Amino acid sequence: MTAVAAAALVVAAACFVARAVAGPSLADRIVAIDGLVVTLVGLTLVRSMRTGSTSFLAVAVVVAFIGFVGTAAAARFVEQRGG
Amino acid sequence: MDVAANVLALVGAVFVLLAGVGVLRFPDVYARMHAATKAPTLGIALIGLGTAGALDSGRAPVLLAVAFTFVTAPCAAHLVGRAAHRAEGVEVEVEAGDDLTALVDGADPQV
Amino acid sequence: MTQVVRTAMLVGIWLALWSDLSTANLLSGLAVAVAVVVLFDTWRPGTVVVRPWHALRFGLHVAVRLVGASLVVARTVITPRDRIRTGIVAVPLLGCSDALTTLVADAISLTPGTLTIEVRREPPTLFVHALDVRDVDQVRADVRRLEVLAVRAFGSREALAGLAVDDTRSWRGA
Repeated sequence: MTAVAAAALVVAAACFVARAVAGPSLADRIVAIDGLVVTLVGLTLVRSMRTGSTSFLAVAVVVAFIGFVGTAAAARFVEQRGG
Repeated sequence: MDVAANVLALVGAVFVLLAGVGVLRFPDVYARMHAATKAPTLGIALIGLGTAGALDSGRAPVLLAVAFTFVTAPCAAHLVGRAAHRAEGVEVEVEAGDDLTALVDGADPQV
Repeated sequence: MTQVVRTAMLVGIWLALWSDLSTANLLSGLAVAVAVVVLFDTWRPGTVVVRPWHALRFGLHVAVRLVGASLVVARTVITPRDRIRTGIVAVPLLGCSDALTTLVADAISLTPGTLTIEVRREPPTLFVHALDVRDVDQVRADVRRLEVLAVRAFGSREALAGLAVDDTRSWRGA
């Protein structure tokens, strides 16, 4: 069942990538990449569920946090330079 | 217990997937932000609950990741929304009035 | 007091990242947390009181609304409908401190059909993007209910008193 969950997350990631490529505005791309980061956190969690290993859990935390900082920085960029 | 954890992870993944489809299909940036803020937050919370239930140790980082998502997802949406409203060149469609533009233009919003 | 709470939160995060409650982790976490709190002493939340029962109610309310919001997103994805009227509505917050305004603004983004776009501090006002503003008062009532729950859970005594005095007349225009 976790394989299905992982597959669903991969399809979700593909959707976010498609939106990030399509745009049209920079704000759309930021929203899409933010969603991609969240999907990545979900995939990391599902992976540690499948394997029972906890070694990648810190990665999930750090990706969640760095993703937010990146989104904030990109939003500042759009605010100042236009998107 | 394991089955419950797997079902939680699956439902959470489906919510993230629905958000992805929503971001792909919704018509403007604000609608996409609605999809990208709410459903993934719930999805990550469910996946995290499932993972925390399935693992024997190391639950703390999982709960920390979920807590981070809960705090940062609305905040990120706020930042992007504000930037999109202020920036030139972002198509923003609001049919039923826009109090924020009224305020920026110097008029008094209806508050 | 705030500094003690901040330090405790940072130590908690440190321990969660190591996921190991050893003395060395506790001490090193404490050192880092104290350094961060002393060096970046910028957090001014105003008076925050925690009332556990009402905090639980606030948390449950947000959780239930978050599930509802996700189901609304799911339904809209599965059965696309005609665009309803979207808009940006100004919602005044009555007597919220900075910390409470932040909390309410975050919680609104997790409830169905509303998303905080902009915050003004003087007077505290949220600008909320709503997917359906056929009824502006409905949007404001939603935000108002969250605000009341948040003030009951974490507001100072003055804010609570203000809650009893302030009613919805200020934005109903009566």
